[in-house]
Amino acid sequence: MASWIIANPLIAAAIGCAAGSAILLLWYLVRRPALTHATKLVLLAAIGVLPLATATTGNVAGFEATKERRFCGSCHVMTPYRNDSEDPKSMALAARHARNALFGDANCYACHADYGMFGTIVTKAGGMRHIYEYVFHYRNMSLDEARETIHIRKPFQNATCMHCHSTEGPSWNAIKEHASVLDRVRGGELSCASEGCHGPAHPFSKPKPRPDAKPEPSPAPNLETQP
Amino acid sequence: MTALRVSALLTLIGLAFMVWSMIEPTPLPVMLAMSVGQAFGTLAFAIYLYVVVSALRRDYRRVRPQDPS
Repeated sequence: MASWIIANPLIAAAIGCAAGSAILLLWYLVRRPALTHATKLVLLAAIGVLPLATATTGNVAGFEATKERRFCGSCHVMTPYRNDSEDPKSMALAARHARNALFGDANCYACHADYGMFGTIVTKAGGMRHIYEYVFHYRNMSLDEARETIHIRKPFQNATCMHCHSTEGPSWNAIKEHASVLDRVRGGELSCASEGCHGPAHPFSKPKPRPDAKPEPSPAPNLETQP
Repeated sequence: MTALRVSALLTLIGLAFMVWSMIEPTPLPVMLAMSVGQAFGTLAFAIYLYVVVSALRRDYRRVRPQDPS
């Protein structure tokens, strides 16, 4: 715990400011000094300056924490996804991205974030919705039930993949399968993460039913949309 | 003075939320810190400002010579 806090300067600074503020406030509450100029200055530090510093650094640290896989995986319904990402033998698309040293610990966010102009806000608003859904609908759901019931809200956008894999590079276009579907990939008609290409993204991803497919005799429940 | 003690207690509660969110960065603590914790902190600071500004105005009136009219 201590080493983790020391390793993160933002958190260390925030906790240091909070501790300083708490010491001054406890002194004030216990000693009950008269409201002199000195007391006012001490309280300005204890109620204003130090908590403001704690909130500012804490907010930055909090926003960074929301990008990490352990944050996403802290809701129990995400446990299989987290475990798969952390499995060094898994060859699922998400797990392979999790092994990328540049963003591996934040692989959920890297692939599910919106990269538009207001992308961060849109992503955070979506995260608030996830928490609402979790608290009010999925909190007591079993993993098996969650795996069958929870699905991605809208189809996964190729634009997210193209944030890193631009489809413009010669090495990407040198692959003949890429060249043959270039327009369909850029237009979003063919998902990068579809089965047969680079998908499924997670071992539990369910294939998107093809529009021309005949209905099966016993259709599966509303399954996860293939990202 | 009671208002300032309330302000100090609110600050301590707000700080507790914020520190909890940093020690355990999971959805509930982070959301509570960024909403309830900050609301408590803001309210506490508003109370402090009100008390201090009121005291300063009182002192100013006491020191300032009374208007003869």
